[in-house]
Amino acid sequence: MTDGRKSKTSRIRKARPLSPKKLSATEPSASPGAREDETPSGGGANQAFVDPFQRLIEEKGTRTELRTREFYLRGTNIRAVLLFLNELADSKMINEHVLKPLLINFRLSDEADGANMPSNLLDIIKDRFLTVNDVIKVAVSDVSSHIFHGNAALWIEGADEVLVINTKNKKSRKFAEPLTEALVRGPRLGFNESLQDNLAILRQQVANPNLSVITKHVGQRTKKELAIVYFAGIVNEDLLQEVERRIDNMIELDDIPESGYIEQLIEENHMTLFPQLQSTERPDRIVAALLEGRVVILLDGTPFALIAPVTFAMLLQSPEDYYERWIPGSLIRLLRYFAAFLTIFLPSIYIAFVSFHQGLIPTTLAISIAATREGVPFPSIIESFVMEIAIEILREAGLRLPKPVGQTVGLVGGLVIGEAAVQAGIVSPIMVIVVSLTAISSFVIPQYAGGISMRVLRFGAMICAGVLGLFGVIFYFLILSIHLVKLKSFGVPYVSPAAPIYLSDWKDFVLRLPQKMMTRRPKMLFTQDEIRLRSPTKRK
Amino acid sequence: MRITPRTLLMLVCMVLLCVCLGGCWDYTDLEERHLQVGEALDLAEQSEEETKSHPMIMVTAQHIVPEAIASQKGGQQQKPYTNFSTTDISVLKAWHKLFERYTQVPIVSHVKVVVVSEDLARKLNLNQLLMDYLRDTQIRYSCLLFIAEGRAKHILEVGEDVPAFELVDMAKNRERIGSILPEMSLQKVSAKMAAKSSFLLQMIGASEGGKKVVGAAVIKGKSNKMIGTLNPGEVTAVNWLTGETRSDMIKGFDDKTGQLVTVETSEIKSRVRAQVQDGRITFLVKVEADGELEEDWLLPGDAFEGDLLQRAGTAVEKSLTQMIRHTLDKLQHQYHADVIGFGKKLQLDHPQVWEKMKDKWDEVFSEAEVKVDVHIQVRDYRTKGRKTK
Amino acid sequence: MLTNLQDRITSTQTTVLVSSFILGLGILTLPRAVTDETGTPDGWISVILGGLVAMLAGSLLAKFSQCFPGKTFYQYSQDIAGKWIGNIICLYGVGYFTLLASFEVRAMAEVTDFFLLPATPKEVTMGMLLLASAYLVVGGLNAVARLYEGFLPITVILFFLVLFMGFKEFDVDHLRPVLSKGWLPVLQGVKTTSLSYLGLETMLFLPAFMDKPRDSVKAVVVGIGISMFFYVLTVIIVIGVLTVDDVVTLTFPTIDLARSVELEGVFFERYESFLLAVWILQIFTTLSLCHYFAGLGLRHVFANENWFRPFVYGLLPVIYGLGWVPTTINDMFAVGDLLGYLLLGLIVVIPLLLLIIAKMRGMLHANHS
Repeated sequence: MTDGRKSKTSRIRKARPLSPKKLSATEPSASPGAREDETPSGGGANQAFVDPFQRLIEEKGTRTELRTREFYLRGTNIRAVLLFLNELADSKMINEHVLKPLLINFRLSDEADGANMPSNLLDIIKDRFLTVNDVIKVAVSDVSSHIFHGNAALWIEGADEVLVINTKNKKSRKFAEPLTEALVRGPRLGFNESLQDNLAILRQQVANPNLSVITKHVGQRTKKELAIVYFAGIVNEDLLQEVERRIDNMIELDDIPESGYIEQLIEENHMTLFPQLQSTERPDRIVAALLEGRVVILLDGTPFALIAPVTFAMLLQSPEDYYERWIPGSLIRLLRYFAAFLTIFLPSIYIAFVSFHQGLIPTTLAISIAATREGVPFPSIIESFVMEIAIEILREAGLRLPKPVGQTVGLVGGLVIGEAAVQAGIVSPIMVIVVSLTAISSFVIPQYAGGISMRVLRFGAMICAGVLGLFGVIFYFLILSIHLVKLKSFGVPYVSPAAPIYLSDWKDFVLRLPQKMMTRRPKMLFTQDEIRLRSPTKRK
Repeated sequence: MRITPRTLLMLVCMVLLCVCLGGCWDYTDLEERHLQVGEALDLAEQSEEETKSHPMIMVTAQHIVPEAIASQKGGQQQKPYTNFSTTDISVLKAWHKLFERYTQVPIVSHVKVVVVSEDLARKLNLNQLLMDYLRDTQIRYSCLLFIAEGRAKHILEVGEDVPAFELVDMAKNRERIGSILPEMSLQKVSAKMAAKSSFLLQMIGASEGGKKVVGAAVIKGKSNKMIGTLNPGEVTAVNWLTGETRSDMIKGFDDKTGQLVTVETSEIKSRVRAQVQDGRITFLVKVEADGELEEDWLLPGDAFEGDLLQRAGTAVEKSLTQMIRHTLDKLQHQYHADVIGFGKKLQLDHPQVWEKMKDKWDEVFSEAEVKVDVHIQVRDYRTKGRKTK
Repeated sequence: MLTNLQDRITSTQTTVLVSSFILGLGILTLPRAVTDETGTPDGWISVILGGLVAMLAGSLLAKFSQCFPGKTFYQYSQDIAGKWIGNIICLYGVGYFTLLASFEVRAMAEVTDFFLLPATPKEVTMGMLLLASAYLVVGGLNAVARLYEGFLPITVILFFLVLFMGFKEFDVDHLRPVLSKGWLPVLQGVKTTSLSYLGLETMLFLPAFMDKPRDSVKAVVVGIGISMFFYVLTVIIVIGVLTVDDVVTLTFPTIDLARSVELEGVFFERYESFLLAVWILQIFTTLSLCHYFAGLGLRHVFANENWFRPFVYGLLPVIYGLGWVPTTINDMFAVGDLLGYLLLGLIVVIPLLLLIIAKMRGMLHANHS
């Protein structure tokens, strides 16, 4: 239907009469007022002016936010019309920096008089009177999209172009602590939904001209601004080109509401549970990633930025590891790896041992389990499934409930249901322990995307354990490893640096070795400038 | 749709997965299994089926009743275990016959003890008798083996807690007593039998009061049959010779006064050297230990001054040497069985000689000379040095 | 550079490939096999000597392959001996690898059947592992290498854990007296042990994929060294705990080692599950690399670059079927012995012939950089 974003001729269907209500439903990208029998862009000044604007003015009745301000340039009879959207354009700026100069300070040079308009009147106004930092000249037909972005359009009678003045009054949330990535120690700063604000924060933290930004617009109809951020001089050029290429070749959707859409559209492998781009709303994570040589994608309208490429290790890392000292940091990281293992495999190990290899558990434990399971109607695998699904339901419910209620329901639900189930003899107490341990372990995983994948993986492991016991668990582990090993994120193998082994990268892998030892950027990224830590030079 | 190779593969996978779903062949929940924890083998009354090498064997299997163990409320009415017994010509067959009485399939991976009765051990080759246990993939190699004085079945019937567990604890309770042999696991027994060397097994007796370690049974290497017993004193001697005693109380009689002294010994070391001269083998055994004077019946028994400590040491040395001599005599001349491991020492010191002798080692051992030197240093007398001044 | 990693492997990956390939069934049966031959507790010396022999052989093969940079054994054997003979050689290689794969998978099924899943039909365990192998191999040598790299640390840790638990019952005297019967038994044992380093034939292929072929000798030596270390440790601890006399009576002495020790109160108490888990993964590493090489060979003989996948899948029923050929477990061990002889053919006879022909044709240029 529409061919490209800049459509000069867009047709409004003949058949339907354009009732005022329907008008607000027409595509904003269509130049308002273009009729099929009209030859657009060109024609006499007056004619070209009046029609589109006339249209808009007429529609004012239905579009109450569209404002017009007609005035005369000071000391002349030249008519000017200012057109803008009410709340989207900053009234203060319009008053102070557009109307005021033109109404009060405007003066043409002495030769001109009211009747004769200099041919470069627009330029004069633009260059000498508008105290605004962003003014461009556009053709009449392009004006409407600018107005809908919050700019103000200034038409001077007799001109065939229109001045578009940046009066965007960006509405955004104040910076707040990121909820999903809370830390004990670290900056409590999170992005907000405004791309400009977010870029500003980044620039503030990295006062380095090498921080480069490439801007694009995505979304057929909503044309959101997207920024690709990278550190020139560090980042690998191939990676950058690949990211750009994928975004350019992205499927054209009407709207890209969240960076998640971008993530799904540019990732290599859809048929996997593992994210190939990391999403975060913490600027400190972004800056660290940039300095490692990764590429970051920011989208207007969401605080979540994307980092590419991603490896499996990153799912289990948290900025806190670096802010605390290295020994606790390393130990906690080890704990996380262990917790990740538990969360995937604990129920399946339970099933495997209780129902297949009873000989492999200590005798006293075997006796207790046998005693407590006496009278439980379900086989262990059914029991596990039921309990795990119940926990997942509780967890999802907890997310949707309002904050004060959510916590209580989570705790109470877990305790009460578990307790009641045990009393009723539906599940064994050991199962409740196993399930709670698994659930708690999954909260240790710092990345939400990673956490989700592992929760799902757990069920596959349980099925395999239920059919083939320990062999099934081993088989599942094998298949999972093979899958991970074949996965790549922007060309970087997902299981780096475990494989291929880049030993120098191991300093930041399972353990977090002292800062002094991390002298190089990750080899797996093949950055331009490898060295990140230089021995201190003498300070005077 | 087109059947690409990928589609074909996925179809194959799906079919296989369905097969998997169809059968969880090994799936049985824990509570649906009988947990077997002990077995006892006895010689049963004879019947026509038996032959000379296959007498009728009674197999007793001890199973746990989990709820009884778990429930701690009120008085313990329920016995925590159940025993099943039956008789057949082979061990496995008899054990298998018990299935007719079970409500659930048993698992034997938790079998901790196997008790063989004296009669059976004297009559049959242990290697043949136990082959099922050694070969089975479920029964653990770490399971302990005992000989029962009297009926093995009886051993598994006395006790407050589960008899099998009690047996294990008793067998391992060797911290401060020297007359209990180190526990023999199936693995160790298998190793000994494979090497055709003689060995000892703990011997358990049962009475109304409970179970008791009554010494050791001597199993002869060549035939793998029981040929005799050693009483607890003799077992102590063997333990001292092998250096397996951790700590023990030895009594002795003081030369001067003839009174009793008891010394608690520890840090026991035993060194055995083999010497070969003109085809004659001599073993030099040197046993050393530290002692603490525990009990003495001397009056006034002044240990602060005088040579009481030395005398105590000498007294127990004498007593110990006597025990050791007596035991060695029994082993060499009565049983002709080297259960102490002198053969190994010979192998280490004179491999070539060993190679020549190893096939008839038990006889050669009986003719070897053994020189024993015991030295016990009594170092202190704890907190009281004299009875009266 | 980031986005197109062709099938190039690093030196570390080569090392890992070699050692993972070698470690397989041997871990379980080697103590018995070598002690049967030597009759003394000195089997571990045979293992070391066998390892040295293997290192020598491996280095020679690596050097030989280095003369034909970028080409696998399949390719350069054709270059040397002509198309038809080359094809026959390739098919010999393919047959060898297929047979080895089927042997490994059958061994795995047997052990799993004994200790883990007695009631499950072996078809299922074999089939599933073979499917996993196909899944891995279609990812190319890179994926295979990465997986092995990932598994190696896990294997090392768990294996050592199990072995060192045996220390509780370890008795050095079981390993003494050393060399009581002299060197002859030891040398007899080397016959068996050097063949258990089945895996150095990979050096006929791997240098073609390495990004630094000159490191291939170092890689194979270290790879064999790692497996030698494992083997030696296994033999020493198994004999130290179980004694020479008992070891020769047991089918899988290493597992019995794990079963004969119980650590009271330390969580699991019984750790043979770890040993079996590790061992199944090691069998898999051997199995999938064989699968890969067999597929490679078929592709070389019959088709061109794009036809790898069909051969990989096509091999599955063949390996599976061959796995069922041995009817008893003794037959299975016999296949293992047969593979030893086939190996000699592959790494001694054929390369020697090729060397001679190549020398005659003047094809060996000084490319030993």
